[in-house]
Formats: sequence, C-alpha cells, structure tokens
Amino acid sequence: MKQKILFKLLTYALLLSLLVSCTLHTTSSRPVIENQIRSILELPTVEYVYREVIYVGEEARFLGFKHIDKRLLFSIDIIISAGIDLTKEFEIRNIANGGMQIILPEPEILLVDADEGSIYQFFVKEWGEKVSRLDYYDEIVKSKENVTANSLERNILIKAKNNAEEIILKIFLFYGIEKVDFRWREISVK
Amino acid sequence: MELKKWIFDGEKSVSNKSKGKMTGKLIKLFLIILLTLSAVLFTLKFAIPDFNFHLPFIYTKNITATEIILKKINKISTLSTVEYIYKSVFPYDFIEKDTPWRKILSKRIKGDDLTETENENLWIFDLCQSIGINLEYDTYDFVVITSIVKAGFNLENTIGKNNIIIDGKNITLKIPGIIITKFTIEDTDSTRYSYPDLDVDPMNWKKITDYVERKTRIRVIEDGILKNAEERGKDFIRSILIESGWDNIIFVQ
Repeated sequence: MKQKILFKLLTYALLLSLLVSCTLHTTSSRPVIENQIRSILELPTVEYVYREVIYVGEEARFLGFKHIDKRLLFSIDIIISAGIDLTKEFEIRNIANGGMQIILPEPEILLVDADEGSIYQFFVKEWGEKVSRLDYYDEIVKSKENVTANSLERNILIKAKNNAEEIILKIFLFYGIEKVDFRWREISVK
Repeated sequence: MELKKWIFDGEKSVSNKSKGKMTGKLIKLFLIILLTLSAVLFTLKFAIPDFNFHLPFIYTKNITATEIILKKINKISTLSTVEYIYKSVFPYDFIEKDTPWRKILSKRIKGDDLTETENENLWIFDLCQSIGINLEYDTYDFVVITSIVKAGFNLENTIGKNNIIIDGKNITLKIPGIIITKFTIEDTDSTRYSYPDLDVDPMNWKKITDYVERKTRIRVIEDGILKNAEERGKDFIRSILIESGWDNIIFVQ
C-alpha cells in the first residue's frame, strides 16, 4: 500500500518537473521576442505614396465681364505611413497553456509628408490676379488633410493592425508559441 | 533435514525483510530530494518570470543557422509591400508642354513620315478632339485617373538555402526580385471626382484608361516604386536579423 502511494508521488513529482522545465524554456525567449518585436515595429507597417493632383480654379465676373480667371493644376507626392508608436508602452505576458498575451497601443498615422521637391505644374492661368505662393501652400495643406482622410477610408489603420499582428504572430510562431492573445490599448486623446 | 531446511528458510526471510526496509528508505530519500527540487523550480518559475532552465533531453532541436534565417525572412518579407495611389492627368501627363501640334498635323496632311512619338501624339490629339479638348489652342480641360499600384517581393521565388552565405557574423543574402503585384484603375463617379467635370463617353473613357494604365506602369517604376519596395523589404529583413545577433547583412540581386 505504502509503495503504491510512493510510486504515485514519484510519478507526480516527475510530471511536475517536466512541466516546469517545459514552460521555463518558453519564457526564456521572452526578452529576445520583445526586442525583435520592438525592432521590427519601429518600421511603419503600412506605407502609401500618393501622387496628388491639385486644381485651383477661380473665376469672377462684374456686370457680365470676367475680371478674374485663375487656374492652376499641379501634382505633388505625399507619403503617409501608419504603424505602432513604440514610444507608448507595450507588454508581453504569459498566459495559460504556454501562450502569450501582448498588449499594444492602437496603430496610428505616424507620418504625412508632402515632398515639395516633387511639385510638377501642368498649367497656370492668371488673368486679373496672380497665383500666390500662399495659394500653393494652402492647397498643399488641404491636400494633406484630404490624403489622410482618404487613407483612413482605405483602411490604413486596419491594415497596419493586421500587418502588425501577422508580423508578431510569425515571430512568436518561430519560437514555438502558437497561442497569442492580442490586446489593443486605445490611445488617449489629450 | 527438515529442521535444517526450516532454519535456512528462517534466515532467508529475515535477510529479505531488512533488504525491503533499505529499499523503502532509499525511495523515500529519492522522493524527498525530487520533491524538494520540484518545489524549488516551481517557486522560481513564478517568482522570476525570466528564470532560465532547460532539461537537456527536452525541446532539443538541431536547426542550422541557415534554416533559422530562412524561416524568419521568408515569413516577414511577404508583408513588406508599398502601395502607390497615383493620379494621372490626361492628356498633360503624356505630352510635352511645347509639342508643335501644327507642325505634326501638317506632316500628317502631307503624308510625311512620322516618328513613333509623333504618331503617339497624334493618337492623343485625336482622342482629345473626340472628348472636346483642342490641343492646338490653350486649353485647360483635363481628366484625372487614379491608379492603385502595389509592389512587393516576387513570392514565386522564395529565398532558399542556396541564396544565403554565412561567414561568421556576416550574412550575404540573395533576395527575390521586386515586382508590381497589383494594378487597378479606380472606378470613380461624380460624387467622388473633385475636378471640373468633362463629358466623356464610355468608349473613349475605356481608351483613356487603357492608355493611362500602360503608361502609368512604366512611370511608377521610373518614379521608384520597385526601389522603394525593395528598400522597405531590406529594412524589414535587416531589422530582424540584426536583432537576432548578426552584425552585417549584405544584399545581392
């Protein structure tokens, strides 16, 4: 009877040791995984390059006579990128069954940059009034806003999130961790 | 004889009893050691999250450095794509500002030999005439066409063992070519079109979009879409390999 109990205890002890050693092996990769995720997410996960075409048209008449006819058509390249802002904290935690939970800040638009060197003017008509530099500037600012709105319509943030999840999942999979629970922390607007 | 046998059996049973006691004590000792060890390891596991412990007979897998690199980069590189949302202005994007229209038109009337560019210009001229744009005079009418162009690694050629040379902490990597993976002309309607409207019938619209598509494919490559996608892919691969402990990554085509 005593020997049976002893044998059972011995088996449990061995199983416990095996369990401990297996889970410890996984957690030993955590700092490495963390660094790899940090390193790869420093790159924006989605990047759109817009070649925007901007048209300015202004026409004014007085007593039926046209006294202002201003038309301008030009293009400009605008780069917009989205990803995870890693200046905001992210965490990796162990969860049951050898899985991992990762808590990340929601993706956001990281850059909207208009390359003024890329401006190409198709035509300009200045009748009654000149097109000022300020006109160009105002239109470029407006265009950056339009491009941002358009990129959101094209689901840039959803794509950034999906790409980030896929990249992270692949890194975890490489280390033999199949169960990854993603949690996204909403960005607080100040 | 019987007495002798009885005495001998008695001695034997006495010696078996003492042996059994010894075995029991040994098992107990072994168990105590094992339980103590397990308890220590178990406590350490929860007390120190990054506690490092391996049993040599568990989870031992021999993977070569090449296999590790391949696994990582082939998976990650599939995600590195670049997308261009490219607006083209027809016809001004496809003609020179100082095109001598009268000279080309008179050459056509006379039946003179025309160059390839002159023929193309005449094709554009005729198409513009049919949608109400007269290029002979100063004109400010145009059509904007939006193309969506995506570029990334050619996934038909994944990186194989023959594409990697490892020399100490340096890796030379032959990466697959970059190609345009997607090209679409965006269908637009008057609610989304933010430029002066021009009445173009469906047949001419098709002619314009086909031409623009052909030209834009070339233009985005000239503008560096493939180079951009390649740089992005390299950045991804470099980032993951340097973080894995490699010092220098050389890319070759």
